[in-house]
Amino acid sequence: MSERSATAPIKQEPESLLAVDVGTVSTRVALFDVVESQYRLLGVTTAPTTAEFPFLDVSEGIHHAVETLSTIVARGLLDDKGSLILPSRPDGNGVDVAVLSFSLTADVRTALVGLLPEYSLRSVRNLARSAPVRVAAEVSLGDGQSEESLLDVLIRARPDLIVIAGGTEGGASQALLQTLEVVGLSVHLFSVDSRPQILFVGNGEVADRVRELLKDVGAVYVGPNVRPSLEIESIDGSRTELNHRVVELLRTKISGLDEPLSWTAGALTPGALGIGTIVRFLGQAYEGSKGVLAASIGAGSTILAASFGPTVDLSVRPDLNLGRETVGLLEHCALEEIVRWLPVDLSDGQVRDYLYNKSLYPRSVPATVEDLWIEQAVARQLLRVAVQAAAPSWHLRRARPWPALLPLLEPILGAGSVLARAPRAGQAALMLLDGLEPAGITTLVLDAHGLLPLLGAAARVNPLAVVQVLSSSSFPSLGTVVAPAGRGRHGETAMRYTLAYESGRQVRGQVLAGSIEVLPLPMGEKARLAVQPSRRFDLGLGGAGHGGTITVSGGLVGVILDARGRPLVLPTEREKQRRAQEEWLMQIGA
Amino acid sequence: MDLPTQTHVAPLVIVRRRRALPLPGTITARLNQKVQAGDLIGRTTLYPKHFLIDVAYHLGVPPKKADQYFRYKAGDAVSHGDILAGPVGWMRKVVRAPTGGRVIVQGEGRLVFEAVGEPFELRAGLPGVVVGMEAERSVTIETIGALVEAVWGNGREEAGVLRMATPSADTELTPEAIDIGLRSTIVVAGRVTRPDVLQALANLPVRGLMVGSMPATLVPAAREAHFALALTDGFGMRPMNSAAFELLATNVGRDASLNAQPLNAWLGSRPELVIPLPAVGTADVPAEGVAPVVGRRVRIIRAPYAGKVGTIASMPHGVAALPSGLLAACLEVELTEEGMVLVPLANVDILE
Repeated sequence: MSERSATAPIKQEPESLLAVDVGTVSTRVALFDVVESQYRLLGVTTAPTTAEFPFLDVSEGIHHAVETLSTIVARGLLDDKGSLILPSRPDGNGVDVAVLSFSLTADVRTALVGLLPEYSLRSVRNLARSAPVRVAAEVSLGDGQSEESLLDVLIRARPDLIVIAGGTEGGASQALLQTLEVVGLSVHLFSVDSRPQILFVGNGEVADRVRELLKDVGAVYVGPNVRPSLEIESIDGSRTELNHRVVELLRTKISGLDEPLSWTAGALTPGALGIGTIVRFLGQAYEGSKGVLAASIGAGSTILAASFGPTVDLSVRPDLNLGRETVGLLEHCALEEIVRWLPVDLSDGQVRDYLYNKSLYPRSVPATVEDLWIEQAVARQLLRVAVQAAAPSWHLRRARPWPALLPLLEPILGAGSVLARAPRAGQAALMLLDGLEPAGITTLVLDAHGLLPLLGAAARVNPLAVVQVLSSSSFPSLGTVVAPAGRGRHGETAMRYTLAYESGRQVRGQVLAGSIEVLPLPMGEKARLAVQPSRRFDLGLGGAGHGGTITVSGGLVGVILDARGRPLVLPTEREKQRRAQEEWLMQIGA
Repeated sequence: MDLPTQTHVAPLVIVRRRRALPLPGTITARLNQKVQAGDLIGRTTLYPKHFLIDVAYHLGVPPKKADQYFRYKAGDAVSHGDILAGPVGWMRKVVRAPTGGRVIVQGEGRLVFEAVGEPFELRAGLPGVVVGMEAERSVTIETIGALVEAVWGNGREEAGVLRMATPSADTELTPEAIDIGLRSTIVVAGRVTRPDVLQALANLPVRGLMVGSMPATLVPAAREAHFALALTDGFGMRPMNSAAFELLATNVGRDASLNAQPLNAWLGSRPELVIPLPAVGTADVPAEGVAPVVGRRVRIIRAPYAGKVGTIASMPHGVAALPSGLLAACLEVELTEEGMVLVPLANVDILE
């Protein structure tokens, strides 16, 4: 990522930084230090996360990863006793600062309680989507449920966490307190060792009474009201509290965090919040009229973080992942919606079996070409399901230029091993284009080493390092994307272009509707692109048929002219779908 | 470096299993008690319904005053129709228990009543000796025998005599191979692909079915089946791994317990078949977290060699390009038919 690179030399005492992220399948450790006045990624390693049986101790995986990193960077990181050398020694061994991020997703059963279904319950549901929780029950006295049924629903849900919202700031509190009595009673009925935590994110004026009312039944935490007025939903503040509650709950289920926490003075950043931090930062750095989006497809969850100003919209979907829940995708879409992305002829049964087997063996990797195409098809559909659910509630600063499409974005970051480990950069680019369907002009950036949560954790202690690493080759651009909204007849001209390289060379051409064209432009180079869409297409430069000249940056793929149209419409016949996917993969160089 | 998963396919090991109630209840087994698979070892009630009773309203007295009319203490069991509070006044108003249950909490004129829930009985699941207990929660049973772990189960558990229904690990079980001799047994077969086979097995009925694989389209039928069903290798057309098939074949005619519980990676519990055997010589608890080393027996879990069993011939040094184009740390595995093949470390499962 180089648009707003931070190249200011370091004035403060340089500090080496070790960042650890405990993920669902992999534990990642990265070392950053100053090289020629700039923070650089010196090395990154992964090791299997050892949270599950038979290890049940995440520190084993962390030590394994740190040991491997130590060998790679030829720098002692652990002492004879296996403890992190902190701070660094004059001989160069050790690190000055360590940060810890926690992206591991486990089953945190959560019950949501609201007063009114269309207000507080909806807001607390949106809040729950910003953390890796599994919603086990939703209850509201306002939808006609009796106190008795509410009690039974809560007890049957056996939640680890109950999140309660209700009441506008300064509003009436009687109904809320009545609901809280029932919640308190349900918690009282759990055995002491299985009582859920309670997070209250309702009317702040009754927070003290809530604490008093529930103090005898369990731990009560209070976050800002998610519905301060009927018209306003405000999730940002409570999201941090919720994510910390989730991590605290996971700590009670997972051992081995005490030692790494001693490296960080107890600081631990939930992985999704870390990604949100980076997106917020980029939103401020780019300061444009467009938004910033990060999309991460992981073994534990699919995360979308979007920023259109000072706030970040965070969507965490543990039910959508490329791990043990892979088969769960079929609860959100039909199998045909996955199969349509395949460039090879595979039966529905083969794809369905693949989803089930991936859920059984989440660490396994696609060894055959057919398996790779299925995995990438799943990735596309995971993104589509996640973005279709999240995008309508993004807090935009201006109206969408095309109501049915995503708002204008710059840049789009793609993360997750299915993208980062894709054999060809074009495959990663096409997964993002198909999964997110960005319209207009944007840049695709790849988190090549899975650093987003690590940098999110590092932002707290060394923001300069974060700025400089984000500007480095650790986040390579896949290329500028020009993807007009609209639809043309297959084969007719969708847009004409002239690309003027810095060398003075010019390339002219046209892109036909329904196709993709890639113009070579290596990483680090810039060029001027004059583009003129046909009347059927709109680039966001003033309406359909309006073109312009823009500066484009090179990337691993190049300048991607995507004239397939938006919304993207796929053929309905299976064989035509397959041929279309094959063509697009070839056109993008994948 | 990736870490292979591990599956136990062991001819003689100590099997120790914790059997827990889903909710606190009563443990009926005793320490050192010998149990059979079907023996009751604990019971509890599930999903009790709750009643919030406004006693003051029903008695027609102020809430504070209502408390003096309560007839039971919190925790007391009551029968259907028992008087919970009252009588009050010349009409001798009372509040009666809506059903059998117990008083949970009462005060300020209100009472929470819990009805008797759905009974749940915990069975031993496998024959053995009770070696550990946790009051109101669980029993640990130990036995010695053969253990074959699986990867997917339909959630049921049954015990019965082991029978082979196909001659080889990659033979499909067909309706023609199902006869009366399989009634009430645990059937072993290479794979199953047809729903009518599951129906035929249900009609006999059998107690259980252990196969290498089945198509995922059969999952709904398998979940509805009234017998335990476990897959040793996964979904699709995979054969049963030869290690499991051969071990099961050598134990035909013995009693076996098939627990087709879902896989739980956190707890390490997974579907499994246990064949209790007389202890000859010594047996150990199966090793966990075994490292991949040269000579170790492994099963390949992904295409193109899914279900094949071989031995590790060499360990990875760096990464290799796979046919898919991915770069991954790989092992060389010696397979019987294919010879030496390169397999991603992440795609092998150590058989221990």
